[in-house]
Amino acid sequence: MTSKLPAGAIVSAEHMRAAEPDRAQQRFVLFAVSALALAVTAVLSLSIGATGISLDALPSAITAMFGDGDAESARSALVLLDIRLPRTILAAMVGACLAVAGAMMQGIFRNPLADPGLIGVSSGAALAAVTVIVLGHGIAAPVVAAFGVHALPVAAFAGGLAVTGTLVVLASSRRTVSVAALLLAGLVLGALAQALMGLLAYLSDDRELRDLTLWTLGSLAGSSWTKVIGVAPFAVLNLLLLPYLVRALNGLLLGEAEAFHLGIDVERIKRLIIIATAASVAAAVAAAGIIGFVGIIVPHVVRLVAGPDHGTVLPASAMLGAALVLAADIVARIIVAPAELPLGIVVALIGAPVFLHLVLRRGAYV
Amino acid sequence: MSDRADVLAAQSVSYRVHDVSLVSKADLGVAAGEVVAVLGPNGAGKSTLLKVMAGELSPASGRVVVDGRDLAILKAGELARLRAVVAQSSNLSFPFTVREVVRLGVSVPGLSRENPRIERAVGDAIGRVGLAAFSGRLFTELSGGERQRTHIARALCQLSVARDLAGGGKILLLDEPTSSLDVGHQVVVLEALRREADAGTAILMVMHDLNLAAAFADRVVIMSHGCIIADGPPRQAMTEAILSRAYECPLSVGRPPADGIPFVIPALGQAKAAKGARL
Amino acid sequence: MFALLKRVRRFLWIAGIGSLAVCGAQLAPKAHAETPKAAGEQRIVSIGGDVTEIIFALGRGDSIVAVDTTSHYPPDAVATKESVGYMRALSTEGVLSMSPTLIIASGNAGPPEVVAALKASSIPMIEISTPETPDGVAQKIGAVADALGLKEEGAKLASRVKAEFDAVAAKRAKVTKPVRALFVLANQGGRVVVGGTKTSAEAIFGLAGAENAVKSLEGYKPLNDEAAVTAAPDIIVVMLRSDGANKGEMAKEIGSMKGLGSTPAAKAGRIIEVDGSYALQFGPRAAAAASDLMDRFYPELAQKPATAERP
Repeated sequence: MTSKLPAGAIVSAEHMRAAEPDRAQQRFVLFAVSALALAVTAVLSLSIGATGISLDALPSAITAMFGDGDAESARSALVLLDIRLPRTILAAMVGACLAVAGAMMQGIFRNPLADPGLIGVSSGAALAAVTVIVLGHGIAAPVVAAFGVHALPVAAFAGGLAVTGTLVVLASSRRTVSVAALLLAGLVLGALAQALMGLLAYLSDDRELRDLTLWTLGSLAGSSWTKVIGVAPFAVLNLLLLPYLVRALNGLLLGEAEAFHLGIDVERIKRLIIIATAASVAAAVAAAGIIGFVGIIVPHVVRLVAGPDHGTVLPASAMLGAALVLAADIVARIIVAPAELPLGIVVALIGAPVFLHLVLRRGAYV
Repeated sequence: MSDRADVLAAQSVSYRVHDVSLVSKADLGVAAGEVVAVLGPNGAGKSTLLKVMAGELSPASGRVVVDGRDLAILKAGELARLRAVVAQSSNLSFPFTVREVVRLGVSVPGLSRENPRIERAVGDAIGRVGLAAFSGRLFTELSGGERQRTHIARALCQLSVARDLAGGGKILLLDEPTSSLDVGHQVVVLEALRREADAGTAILMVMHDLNLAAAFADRVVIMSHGCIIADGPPRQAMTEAILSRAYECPLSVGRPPADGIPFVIPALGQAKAAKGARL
Repeated sequence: MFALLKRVRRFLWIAGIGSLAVCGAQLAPKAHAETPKAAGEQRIVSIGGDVTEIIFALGRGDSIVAVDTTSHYPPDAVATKESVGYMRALSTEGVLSMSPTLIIASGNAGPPEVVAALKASSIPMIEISTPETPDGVAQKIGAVADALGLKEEGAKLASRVKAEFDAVAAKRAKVTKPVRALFVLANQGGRVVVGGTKTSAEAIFGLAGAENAVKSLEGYKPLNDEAAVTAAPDIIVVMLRSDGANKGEMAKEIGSMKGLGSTPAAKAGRIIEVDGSYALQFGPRAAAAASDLMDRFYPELAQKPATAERP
């Protein structure tokens, strides 16, 4: 066959061979770098903190955990195992959930700038959280009475799901979810939530106002094992779902009709993605408050490096998202130690310049 | 038409949007190995009929039969195993390479991405539309014609993989596959499609170029105002009377003695005269 | 429930740490942990400006290792302390990194999860919330003194503050016609935020014998221009930034504003600047702050020497 081809075609075939391994190599490099970044940030997150306790103290901390050990080991155990470890796990889960959710939203909206905010999760969660902050002694008192310290995260989670659920119902007709209607209804509900939050901010007293401002800036300061256990099911289910979504999301990038032609049950997949995104993002927001940027920049960076194939984008986003939030959280808690910066600010401060650099360097709209 | 062994058939299919009938009572069958071109003016309902037959739109009445089964009961996955579709325009704003886009056509679930048979099928489909030199190029950086050929390769890949691995790949539907191609590439694509038909695939495509359709299709179906007004081999169906009625403008049909394939040219003088008469 | 949590935690520990421990130990920075000082020496983290002031007033300022960002007084001494950040945004490890032996916090400390975690640690933590009244201040002093084991000193300070409040009350009794005062918390481009009912500003006005000019708002709220005219305060009290950098600015701005500029207070030039941490925190200086404010509200009463006030 080759012998019959004109000379030009042979050159082309070589060109093809030269271009082809590119993506495989890009994918390998990206996975390696992401995994390394995740491992390094996770270890650093466990080793660095205001107390200066390092992982050296771990053996004695573990001994102390089982009941014997001096006060020093008890303190190490407290810091390493009850403060830093849940915080590290939570940061990784939050980062992974947000980044993957961003990638999935960009897939179903076919827009590289889409984020989970479009389906109302964050505004719903924020509205519920602000309600608990401001009306925790009024209308929302039963919630506070029932859940105590966890009233706010529980409410935020429920609020995120409730708003997304409402949106999906509004945007559905005859068992089809229209992405365009979703976008419009999302805008309207978002504005409504914003207005209600404004109203609550007006009603709030000084302290509540500070609380709600701080909450919207995001923080992992209140991390606990209870929160880890609360977020883990959603994060893990979401990650387990990813392999099943790769082909569907790739197909959806061609358009919904094309995806259907390729054998994808578009309506089922859209619902599945919206539910998975809503649940994982609501859980992440409930645990850490509002953290922007991760859902947009991480998938964007991944696509810049290794192309838009979701087989690469989803797992790499999960790892890099986790690494980014871990890194930002390390900075947040050590830069003004013993005080702490809001995490959302740090993520934006680290993320925005990196993002700008990548976009400008490549000059590409991915 | 019941005596034909049609692998794809529309049976008295109608489609409406808000009481406006876009397709009415269309009967159309395509047999294995047959190439059928759907002709007609803009708005005649060609693309709508194609979409109904692809399963993208549900008919208001009538039914579509795919490989002996009612399309309405087939799931998206089963349908994709049997047929591939190239839509009129599908834009893609994410920078996939040509090879990645074509690989999207692999619709058999559960195959590992690095399966060598798949990779061979992908490369083969790219070669068949003359894009071998472009396989590593970004789709977003291609010309309109190159994009169109990429989508055709994707559909060919979908058929060949379905055929080899899942006993499917029987039908190909295309909406104006040659519209943004130059003459040379029109020939490349049509020859690739002919080879696909020779391998047993039933091909139904909407076309605008009457002469290309006349030269290439085994059968032409001519539509006007949502109705099929003629169906048969080009030599019989493409008459001056039928075409002029369909396009609502006088057309001359010539038949070179060599092969008898009709060629169509607009009868400009008569058109002017007709217009003048109307005024 | 708790048993389950404990089991899950243990599982996570074994699974999670086991793998990380090996490589982590190599990578960890060798930053030395601050070892707790010898027994007997207190290391206090003080959260809340009022609490910090009381600890200093009780003579134990030296034991404070860290304060929050609402602690401003005494300025020079507070400046030498570490900061654990804003009192509503504390960090568990940040506070613990000070190796405190005692945490004394205002009831406003937060977020709740961090406060809960701190309380769950082995370090004693005391939260104090008392009403913004003379009795409340005395209770607050008592609570801090108890925590420090300085009952006697606490009682002494409390009674001194109480005596000051009594003197203020006596002076207040002479007020025949209370002035109407308006508290301006902030002014952003002509939009003023004022103190309505249930604010510390209203509480201190009450102690200083003045009436809050805005009773229609609750909390600190933006006031519209027309309502400013209707409120018609005799006196406007503006809050200075904690570093006093905006001294004199607000008075000038208010004078030039349409709404507030036309009030009796602005016309008579009766715009008073106060230090927020002094006037609004209800610490040991609250009585003095009330007294100062009263002197400026009623200059005629302040003319007479203090001794002459007692019959």
